[in-house]
Amino acid sequence: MLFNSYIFIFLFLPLSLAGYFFWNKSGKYEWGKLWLTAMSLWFYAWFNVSYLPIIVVSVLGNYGLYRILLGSRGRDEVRKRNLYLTVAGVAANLGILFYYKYFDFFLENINAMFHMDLTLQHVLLPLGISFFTFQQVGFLVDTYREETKNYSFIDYALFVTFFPQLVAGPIVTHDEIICQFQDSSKKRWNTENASRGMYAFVCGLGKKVLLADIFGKAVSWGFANLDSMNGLATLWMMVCYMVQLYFDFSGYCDMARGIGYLFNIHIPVNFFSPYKSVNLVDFWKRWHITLNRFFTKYVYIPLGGNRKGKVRTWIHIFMIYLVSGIWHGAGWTYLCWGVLHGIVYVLTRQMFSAVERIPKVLAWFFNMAFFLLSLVFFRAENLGQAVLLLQKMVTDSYGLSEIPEAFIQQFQTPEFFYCMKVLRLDGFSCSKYILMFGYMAIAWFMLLCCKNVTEKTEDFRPTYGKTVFVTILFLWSVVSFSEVSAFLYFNF
Amino acid sequence: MTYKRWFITTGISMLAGLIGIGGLVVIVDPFFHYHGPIPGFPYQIDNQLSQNPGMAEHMEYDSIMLGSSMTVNFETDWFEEEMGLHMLKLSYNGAYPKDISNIMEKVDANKGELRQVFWGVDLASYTGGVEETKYPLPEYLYNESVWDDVNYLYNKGVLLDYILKPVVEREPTNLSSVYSSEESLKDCYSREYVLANYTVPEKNDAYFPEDMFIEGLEANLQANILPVIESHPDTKFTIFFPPYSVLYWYEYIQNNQMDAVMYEYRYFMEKLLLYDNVELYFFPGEEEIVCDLDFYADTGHYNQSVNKYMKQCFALGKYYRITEDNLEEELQKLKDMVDGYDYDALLAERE
Repeated sequence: MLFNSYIFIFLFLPLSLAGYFFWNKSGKYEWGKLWLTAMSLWFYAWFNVSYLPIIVVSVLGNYGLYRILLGSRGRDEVRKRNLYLTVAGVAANLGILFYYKYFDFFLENINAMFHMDLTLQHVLLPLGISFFTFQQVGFLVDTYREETKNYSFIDYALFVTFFPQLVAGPIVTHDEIICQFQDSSKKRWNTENASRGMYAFVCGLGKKVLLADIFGKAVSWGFANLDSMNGLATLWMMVCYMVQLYFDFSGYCDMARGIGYLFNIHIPVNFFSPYKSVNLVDFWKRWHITLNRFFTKYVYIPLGGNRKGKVRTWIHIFMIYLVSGIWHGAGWTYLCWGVLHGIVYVLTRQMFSAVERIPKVLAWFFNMAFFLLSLVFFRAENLGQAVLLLQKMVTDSYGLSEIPEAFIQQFQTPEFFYCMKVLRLDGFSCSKYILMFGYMAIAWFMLLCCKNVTEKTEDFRPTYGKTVFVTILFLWSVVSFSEVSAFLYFNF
Repeated sequence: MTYKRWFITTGISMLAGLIGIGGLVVIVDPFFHYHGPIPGFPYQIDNQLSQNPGMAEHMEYDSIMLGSSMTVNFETDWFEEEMGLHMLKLSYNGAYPKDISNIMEKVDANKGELRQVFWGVDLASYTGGVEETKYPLPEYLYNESVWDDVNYLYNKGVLLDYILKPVVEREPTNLSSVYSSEESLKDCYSREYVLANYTVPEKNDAYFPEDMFIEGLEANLQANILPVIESHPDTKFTIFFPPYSVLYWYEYIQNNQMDAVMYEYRYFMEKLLLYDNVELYFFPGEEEIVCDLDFYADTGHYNQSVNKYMKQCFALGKYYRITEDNLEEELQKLKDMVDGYDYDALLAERE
């Protein structure tokens, strides 16, 4: 189930809230948590019911192991055994992730390297598996480190499956979520939190539906018709992708945080205006924050962090981005993306004082240009396509008139098309570019000159203006879930 | 303003907005999903996939036009004038048999009497999967579930393109000429245009068995075509085969599939001739139309004068009619024309 779907907004969310607060009001807190867990599993199964056993087995298996580790906590004689158990548990989690996400990629490379013909499995990747796997890996490691408390099964299951963060993060930790579900002061409906939650949810919904999806349409068209794209169109498409990726992912996280507020649960911030950053170190403090937090805690620090000399520190940092690249997807393109980030991050950190002396505007531009360049690898379907994209951006023509008409058409959303008609802006030769540039200008104005949704939610004060804003944005988003399929065809 | 007041006010205004939008769509109902047209609203009808099912279910008519883009240029008024039929056009560009049986389900949901069905058949589209539709359908407009109507009630396209735009433009669609391509293609109907846009098919030396299309066709007959005819014994079915240009047939010749097409036509017509409520009309062999590319915008699509000619034949009821006696003769006429045509001379005009 997607947040931006009718069933979620009109049925699932109201039902989840009603059930949760009903049980809580009756004083049956465990039933409230059970309700929320069951609803979360429904939320997950809605995508594909065959995913359900995977997450259920994963939760049961990890909780079982946790109980074993917890049961022998404090006994030195079993410390080594617990280490082995933890390693085995982590390996099992990563093994499942490997099977579903990377096995075909692995086979493809074996086939290519050794000229073999191993049959690809084409296993359907269960949604959110990267997120709930990491969440549970972190939990097992923390259990081994004796940083977890005695949690009931339902607490643990809800921590892993809580639907706002289940399929696309943020990657939450047990110590920030379970305690909130155990806190009896959070069991009652809180209108202040609910107001903030509604505000954050609707803002995130608008970002996703009214911005990300528009840019996404142009990007999808561009990638499907690369041959017809000139240099300018390719560059424009990649900037669109940059905008789409942020609004899509951060919009989702805003919605997740908003839903969290509705349940009185604080979900950590995952994005904090990353496109305002002026260097890569700054960028990664603002982009997918909880993933970096995870890598720092469970990769960087265990490897030795910055305690083993300069070179080792560089290697440890590089490892984070290499693993991050692999985590994002099975393919050499993701690996390249990770490597690029690793190298530039290390260089930036190494020359930080010099980097800081670069004028802010210039530094921002270089930073964004680098991120854009890295996204070429992130989005390309293979390395060949990434090279083609780069070639096009460097050597192809930059004629405005050569941008494919159909690419420009992707920005002609009906609502603004009518606005242009009313304002009589549709009669000029350059009219067709107005929306293409207009959307981009609005997006970058929001990205650079406005407070982000996290800040706005924190600053939220109830006003009539916000009532109007939230209502319009909500209705506009909801009616944008569906469009009328129009096939402009003439064949038989 | 307190948080409580804000939350309640915002919640109520969101709910009011939802009720208002949903109510507007239900009242105007531009896809006729709940009721027929309301008086005075300038409905614009241009979306076969979305508007045909509602029209079929809720409009008033006693006859329908089914088929592909080969049928869109029929004016329903012609049938009123000549045959006294109050016709509704329910064409689907590229219609597959499943598209036909789908829309017939909606026609059946209409309580009115169905006197006659005109059905243009493009056999080339009748051999695929029995559940295949040419284009993905907006299921929420075809199924009986009310739950997925939310896709219709809260739909930007419906609101802007089918409620706001008609109100602003005040140019309602004339149902008689709905879906017509005559105006948009008026500059394309010419020999020069057709030849200029024609891609000459390469000669294929592969062998194809005569019955290569029969398995798919038979499956569609059983699943989507014959049940429609059998379930309407009191309805007259005027089933016709449109006249494609000679260049359309050239592709089959180059592919060595002409005999298979002949076999397919024979098979299909023999099956349908068994029904008393079916009249068959076969236009592909009409040389004066088929060999004159000025009637066409491409290899298959003819201008409205051809539709008008076919309509006159339907009204007269004797020309181009297929019976058991003349079936072979009419097929042979097509075969002879296609085989004897000088394609090289025609294609030489392109240079």
